[in-house]
Amino acid sequence: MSTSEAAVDSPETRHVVCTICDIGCQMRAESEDGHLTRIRPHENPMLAKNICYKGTAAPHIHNHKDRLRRPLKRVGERGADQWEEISYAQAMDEIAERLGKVVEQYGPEAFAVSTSGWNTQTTHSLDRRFMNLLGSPNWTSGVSLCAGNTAAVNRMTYGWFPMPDFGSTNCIVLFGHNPRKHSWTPIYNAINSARARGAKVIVLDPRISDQAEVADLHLRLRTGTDAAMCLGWLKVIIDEKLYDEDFVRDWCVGFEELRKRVDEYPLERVEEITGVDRELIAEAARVYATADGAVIPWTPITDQQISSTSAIRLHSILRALTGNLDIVGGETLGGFNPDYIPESEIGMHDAIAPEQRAKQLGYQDHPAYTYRVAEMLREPTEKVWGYPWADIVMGCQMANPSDLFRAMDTGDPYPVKAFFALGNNALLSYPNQHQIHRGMLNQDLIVAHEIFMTPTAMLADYVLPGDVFTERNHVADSWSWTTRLTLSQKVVDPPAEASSTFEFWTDLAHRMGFGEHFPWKTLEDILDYRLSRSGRTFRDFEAQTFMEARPPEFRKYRKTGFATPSGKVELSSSVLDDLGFDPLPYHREGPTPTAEFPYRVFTGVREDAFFQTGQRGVEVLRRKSPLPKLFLHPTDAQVEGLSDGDWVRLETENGHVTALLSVQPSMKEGHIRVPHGWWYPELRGHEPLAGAFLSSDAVLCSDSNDLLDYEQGIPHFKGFPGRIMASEAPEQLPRMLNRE
Amino acid sequence: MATRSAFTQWRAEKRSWLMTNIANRLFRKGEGGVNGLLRRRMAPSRTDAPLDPDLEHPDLEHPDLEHRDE
Repeated sequence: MSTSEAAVDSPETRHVVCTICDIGCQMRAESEDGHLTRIRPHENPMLAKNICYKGTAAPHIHNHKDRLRRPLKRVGERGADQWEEISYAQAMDEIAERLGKVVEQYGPEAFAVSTSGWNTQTTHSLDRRFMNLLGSPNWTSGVSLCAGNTAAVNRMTYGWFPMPDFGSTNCIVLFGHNPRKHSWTPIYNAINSARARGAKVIVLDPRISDQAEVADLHLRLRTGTDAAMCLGWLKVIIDEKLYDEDFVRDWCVGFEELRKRVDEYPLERVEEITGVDRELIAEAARVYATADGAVIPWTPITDQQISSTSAIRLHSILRALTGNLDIVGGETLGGFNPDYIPESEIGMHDAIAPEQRAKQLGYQDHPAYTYRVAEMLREPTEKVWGYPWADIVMGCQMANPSDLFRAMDTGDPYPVKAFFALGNNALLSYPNQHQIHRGMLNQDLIVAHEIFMTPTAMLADYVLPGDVFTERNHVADSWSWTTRLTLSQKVVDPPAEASSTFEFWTDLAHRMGFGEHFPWKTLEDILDYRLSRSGRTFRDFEAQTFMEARPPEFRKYRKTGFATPSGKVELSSSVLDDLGFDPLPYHREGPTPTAEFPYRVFTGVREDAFFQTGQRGVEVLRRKSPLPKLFLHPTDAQVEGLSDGDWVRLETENGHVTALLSVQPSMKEGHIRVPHGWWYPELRGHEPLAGAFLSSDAVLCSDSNDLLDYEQGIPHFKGFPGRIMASEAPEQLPRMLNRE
Repeated sequence: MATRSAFTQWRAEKRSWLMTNIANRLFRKGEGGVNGLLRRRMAPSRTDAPLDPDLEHPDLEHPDLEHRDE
């Protein structure tokens, strides 16, 4: 595949969008003799600082000796990690035949997909198109626990998922979110720039995080109490009339009902729930409400709590009440970019019959981000935004993963017998890892599409080698979250037998008999199609720009209303009311520590060196964080007789992990922090599934129904009971520490 | 809440609109454009300098390139 010579500095340099994490930094990639050699910052000074050490490690990842290069077919027991190499064509023929048998025997809903758009990048929603044409609604992703669910819940309140205007804001509120130099780097840079302009930063975090250390206000709330904190802020804002009365009168419904609910949360009660002094709560609320433009950026913390839906809705309500919605310095409602056909259209969500949509796992009991709510918002979404479906951050019509893996395990409410994991280490990516494992052992067909052999791939029948961002052309659009389009150019060829997910779904569709709906022969063809409404091709775009954004329009709702059933901001949600849930936000207490399990454990924490479960096999990154570390306060360590650097065992009612202890004064007493996604590629061949059950946080958290957020079915990652004790070093330790 | 006057709001919105258009110009390609000027004037000092040491991986520079012919 050729690249445009006119568009680059030299024949060896291209511009790429990094997908090693989910932020999408723009960088330069250099190659020599057809091989990726170096990553450098973008030459445009406005972008040059947006780079981290994971990004510059791309040559070490993409050229890695363990990279998958040939399709593999399982020859031993499932999970035994025994394979034969086969051709891509043979693999696809056999996958199509076996998937057809599953669909014939159990129905199309017996086919499920779990994927990560950050890793695969080039799917262009062809997975949804394929599934919708086949008749399966059971698509899920890590975004069901992180950002995608936030987008869906935001839509219930005002019809879109807003983006903070960091460039003009005067106040930034970080709920547990901790952007750093090497993690969420562009957000970290944007916060620093805003702070340098004089913007206030408020951090709400049990830990003294990096952001908390330099914040104007730090509220050390007890983990899992974000909803109660927001209700306290609203109490101050409403009582002191700090809200935008004109906006509330003209554009909100349910204010009086909200006021009554908020009155149930006087600051004395909020102080008791959150553990934060009431004066500090009031001061923070005032700083936020009186700033001339304030933002509450997306945070993974509120995504993963027993009161998640309420907490996310409360962020939305705070934005609306204080008049920070769709204004300069507030949070803008971008809508679809008319220059780029959205994935929402490509996914063909109308191709699947409504009765099949209704079979989506989660649709009945936890509908907030399933087809059920998307159907309720369909008409206003089309009226305001021009499309009936909105796959914002891919995440507004997904199956619930807990319900999915339960169905895979038990057959309740119906069997799921074919499972595809694309760019997604599903075994370690969702709670209740033991159930996921049982569910995968119960499958007739598992296909993994990956760049490295992961524990999930080890459980597959077929493993197809994937490509990486330096091996493909792309125009990234942040999955409709922003109206920005960014260029990513192919630098080198992928391994001969590797495929993009575009190729995978297109080739499978042709084998399954609906190839006429997949007319694009190459990635450039579908990029041309997506750009066609702007009158350009990919080559035109590549020659013109690195990035372009639609000039912002503010207060668009004055022309169109909001994309909700009432056309207004729904402080009291008609959607939740119609579904039989409480239409107003509330605080729900998570599980309480006991004498047996006295600590509050919070999981899902990202480390600088890795993105989710990835990169543990990449030397230059693993050396920065060789082993998993649990964080504990010194007082708690003393009580337990533990010291920094000890091996410890953390137990919950759901499972246990072994890790090193890091004693950190920055921790809040009574809390234990657990890093996310640990496994040990070096143990492949020595431990089952490369040590996937030794230190993975996914074994700790329960997803039993009584511990799920009601509306979304989100597990409570942030504060479930656990206990910690000294442990022997794992028997595998010599191998883990002597990796060469 | 702090309420901006209609004029202040109008000015802020126009400024934001203008800044986006300027940014789009800055990201356009071509030596004659603003981006080319920025590259010529600023790149040597800002982005062609040695990387921040935090971003380098000097101890294992391209350790696996012998496998790249796969």
